[in-house]
Amino acid sequence: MEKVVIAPSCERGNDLIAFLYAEIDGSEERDFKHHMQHCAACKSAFAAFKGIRESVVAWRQESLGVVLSPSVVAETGVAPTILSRFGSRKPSALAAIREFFALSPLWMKGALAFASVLFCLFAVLAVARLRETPQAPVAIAANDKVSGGQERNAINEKSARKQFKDPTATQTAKTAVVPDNPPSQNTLRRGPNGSIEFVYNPRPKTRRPLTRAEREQLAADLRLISPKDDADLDLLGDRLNRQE
Amino acid sequence: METATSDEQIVERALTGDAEAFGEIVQRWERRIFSLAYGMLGREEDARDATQETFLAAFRNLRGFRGEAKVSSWLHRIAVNQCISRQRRAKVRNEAALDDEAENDASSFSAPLENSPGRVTEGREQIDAVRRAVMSLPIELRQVVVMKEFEELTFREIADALDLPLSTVKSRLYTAFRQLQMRLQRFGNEAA
Repeated sequence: MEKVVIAPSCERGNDLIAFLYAEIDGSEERDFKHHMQHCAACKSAFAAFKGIRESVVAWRQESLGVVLSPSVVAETGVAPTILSRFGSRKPSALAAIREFFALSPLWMKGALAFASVLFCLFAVLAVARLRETPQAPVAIAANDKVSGGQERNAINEKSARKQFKDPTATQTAKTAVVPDNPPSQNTLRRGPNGSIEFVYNPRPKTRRPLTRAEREQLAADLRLISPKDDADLDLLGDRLNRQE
Repeated sequence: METATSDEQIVERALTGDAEAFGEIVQRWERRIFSLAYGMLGREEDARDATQETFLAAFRNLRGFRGEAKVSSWLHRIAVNQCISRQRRAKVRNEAALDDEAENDASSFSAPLENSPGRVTEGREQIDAVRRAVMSLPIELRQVVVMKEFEELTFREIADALDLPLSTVKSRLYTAFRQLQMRLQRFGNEAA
């Protein structure tokens, strides 16, 4: 074991401590200062104790830096609650954000504000762009995100019913469903019982010829024939189909 | 201390059934009790738990407080007892007791304090060595160091809190500093 060399102690240890913490009367302070000029033990101890104090204070500040020192608390009257600060191991997100902003430098606050403005701008632009795109069932079908056949049929039926109940909506939907250059072959047709059905045809690879029923329906939709003349209808395409 | 009378009045209110009165005591003293517990135990989590246990014990024994001592002294005694019993429990459970570490591990100290004027800037190693040295002090010496340095109490306040003569507080602090000096120098010699 290494030998520890400590300067011999002086009998005025209590005065030394009082002097170290500046809790000594004026006359006693002068007296002790005079004593220290001649006492090597006190001079050495004072220097060592001062260094130890500084280290202890550094330890305290490092450990309890977030807590105001008692002198600051006494001066400001602010008394943060330890249990609330330290009682919860995980502070709330809001508290963490507040603390983050409180501790952040000015440039970081500015940068965050700028980033927030940019984010809001992009969000508004994205919403505006989404609103410009058609919201008809075609949009749903064109995206082709609905993969299940049953789900697709359910959506189709729902939209068809909606269009049937609301003529103006039907008109709008028709315009949307059968555009000049449609991305897919979705269409509406009148069923045998007079109801309108939405037919989903997900972009056929090859164009197939219309069936007789489809052509009749198309003609009826375009008001080229009246429904009562349906039986006498003789369509050129049908002949063509038969020839094929 | 200025708040001593008020503390006793608040405790009286708490005893008469004022539900918020004890909360005021907690708010007033928790920071100091936490600092004391931290200095005694050296770990934040332990200090937090000890602080909570202190106030729980105080609340449970509120009826036993007869006003013979100051509220501050009463709370300090409870806190110190909590810290001591907590350390004992930790030792029983074979947890890494900080005072044992302080005795065994001296590798973190790089130089004797009295030979290094720019002490604080020497960084973490020195702080760690001081922490270990403080933790290795006997409880009655550690107590006054912590109350002085962590709670920033005056000698008179420490004397009142611990119910000791003023001269005893000073002599204990002086002895504590001498022992810290010896421990740190020994750490330095062993590390060299």
